Amino acid sequence: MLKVFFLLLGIISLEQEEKLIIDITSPKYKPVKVILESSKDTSSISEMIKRNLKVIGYVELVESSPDVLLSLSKEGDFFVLKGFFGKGKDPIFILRAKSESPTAIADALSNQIISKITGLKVDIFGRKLFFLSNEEGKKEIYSMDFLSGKREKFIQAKSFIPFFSVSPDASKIALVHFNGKEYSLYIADSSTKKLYTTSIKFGMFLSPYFSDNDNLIIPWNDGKGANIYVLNLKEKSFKKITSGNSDVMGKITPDGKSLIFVSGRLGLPQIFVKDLKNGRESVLPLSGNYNTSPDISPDGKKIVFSKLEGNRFSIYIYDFDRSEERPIITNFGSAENPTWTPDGNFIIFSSNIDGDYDLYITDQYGNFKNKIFDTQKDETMGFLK
Amino acid sequence: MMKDVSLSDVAFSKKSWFLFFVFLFIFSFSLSNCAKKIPQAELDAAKQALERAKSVGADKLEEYKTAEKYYNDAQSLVKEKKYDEAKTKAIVSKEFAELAIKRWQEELERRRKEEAQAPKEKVEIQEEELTYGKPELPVLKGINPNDIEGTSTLGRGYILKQLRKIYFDFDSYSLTDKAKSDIEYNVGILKKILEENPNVSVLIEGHCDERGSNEYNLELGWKRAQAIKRYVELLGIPEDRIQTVSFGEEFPEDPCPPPQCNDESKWSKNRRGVFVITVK
Repeated sequence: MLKVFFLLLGIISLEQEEKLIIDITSPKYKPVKVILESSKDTSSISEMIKRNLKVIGYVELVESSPDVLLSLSKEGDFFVLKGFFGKGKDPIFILRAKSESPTAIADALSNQIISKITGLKVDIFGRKLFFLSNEEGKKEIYSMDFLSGKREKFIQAKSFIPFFSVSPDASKIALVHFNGKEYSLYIADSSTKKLYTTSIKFGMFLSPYFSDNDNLIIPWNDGKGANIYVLNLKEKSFKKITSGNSDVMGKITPDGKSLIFVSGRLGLPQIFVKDLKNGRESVLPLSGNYNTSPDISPDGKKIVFSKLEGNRFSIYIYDFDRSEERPIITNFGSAENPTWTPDGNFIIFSSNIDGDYDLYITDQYGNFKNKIFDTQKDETMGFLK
Repeated sequence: MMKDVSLSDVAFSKKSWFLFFVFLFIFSFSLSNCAKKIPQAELDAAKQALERAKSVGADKLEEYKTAEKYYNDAQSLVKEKKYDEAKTKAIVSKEFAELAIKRWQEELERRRKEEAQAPKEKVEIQEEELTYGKPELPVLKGINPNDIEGTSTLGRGYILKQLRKIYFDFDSYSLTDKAKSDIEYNVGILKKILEENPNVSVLIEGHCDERGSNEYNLELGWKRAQAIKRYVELLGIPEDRIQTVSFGEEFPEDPCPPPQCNDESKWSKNRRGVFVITVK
């Protein structure tokens, strides 16, 4: 009775607001039950949409008694998706898409379905996922159209690649490669796959990060300890911006005003903030004695990071406005290397809960933890661009 | 004329002396009571100052170490009930801790100014493919082939059976007494090898267990390799015959990924320094 009553309430609010909403912030939220009907000429797109929706935990595909019925048909050159509440006769939304690529249509419609249901601006399907995999016995960079499932090796290593970063426009990849004596920095052109390196031929580069398409934040150990530098690819300049001699990862906030970085200068790694104007540094007031791998949300208001609890990593979010942290993924193997999706709604992370490391997706409340794809090898460091 | 001293005079005098001694006793007692009070406020102040200093990173400074020493002395003196001396030591400890904080803040300010003024160095960017320079393994003179355990990580050189691995505590790159003893043992063997084989070097690999982040562990592995290298140099092997490399957590000897594996005996094997014979 309560469930029906809630749904009725939802209908009332829908009629007033003309959009579907589930409260994803509520700990009691439940996925919306969806049936996707299709015709013969839309079945392949329908299958792709279903594959996409399965990964996002806001939707549950069912066989009967849906909350929402989606009907996909073709009208001329357009693919038309209508959404109905349960057994309702009038559609609550109508989406039209036209493209030569069925995948593009499926991706666009999938984004829109999630947007309609949640009220979020969702833009994840149709993007490219980059990650490290040791599929061939060594860590190399792979890519995959999210979620086509077809993985391709993007950069082949001679030894192994421990770290990499993708520029915001995905035109460049910065990577660190062990060349036998040093960990060298390379920049790859994504379209030509041509590789470039710098004249810095000694020392040890660590985890790179593109703050924009021309600036790379890169920790470099010159033989005295790791500090963070900015490599400007246009000016071809290399400037030191920290001096902790134990600074192993850094990212600049979207407004360009602060550096968020990880340092072991106080012992175990902690996350620091540096004001790039006055140079003042402070440690974030996080609990625990091992906090690392921060990634800044696209709006700059939060960071997602890993916290070592016992012998495993959990994933937390720190909200700058509220100055508070909250866990989103705990007791899920060792959950590491979280990164935001570009729309700021979801987080991709790796976990070894199944034995090997796989890539998962969740939202900023940890409402679901869905595996993106499964192999028997380790996949880590996922970036959606 | 001498005044006869009456018994009552004598009695008064004795009474005076009695009162005097009573007074002296009370005075001494009150003094000793002051000295019996543990200088808790001073100890607490010193402890808080040390904690503040550590929290900002000032514990690397000599002033902090001095503060710590004075604090430990104060605590020992309390146990010996030498409270006055303990109080003095605690006060001095606090002053040194505060001095450490001040010096550290001055150092940070100096670094900030240095960074602000640091020039942008120019770098060249050129096209170059990924390379991996795997060396040709040397032919070793004076080594029994049976003594070669195998090749090292990524085939950089040979691992000899007689060379001991060096082990570290969690998140540490300090050399334990056992580690130093093992390095001394290894250096004894290496000196002969290097003398007979002028074309080879010692490569020291630094490794970590699988806990922690990849970046931090790569840096920690480097620190471990450097710590071993410094000691090896101290024992007489020239710097140009020593190379170092870190592999972080990438190549554990006995894989034990948490949380499925929770075995300190495996992790401790992975926190290691390895001596490798490689080409110069």
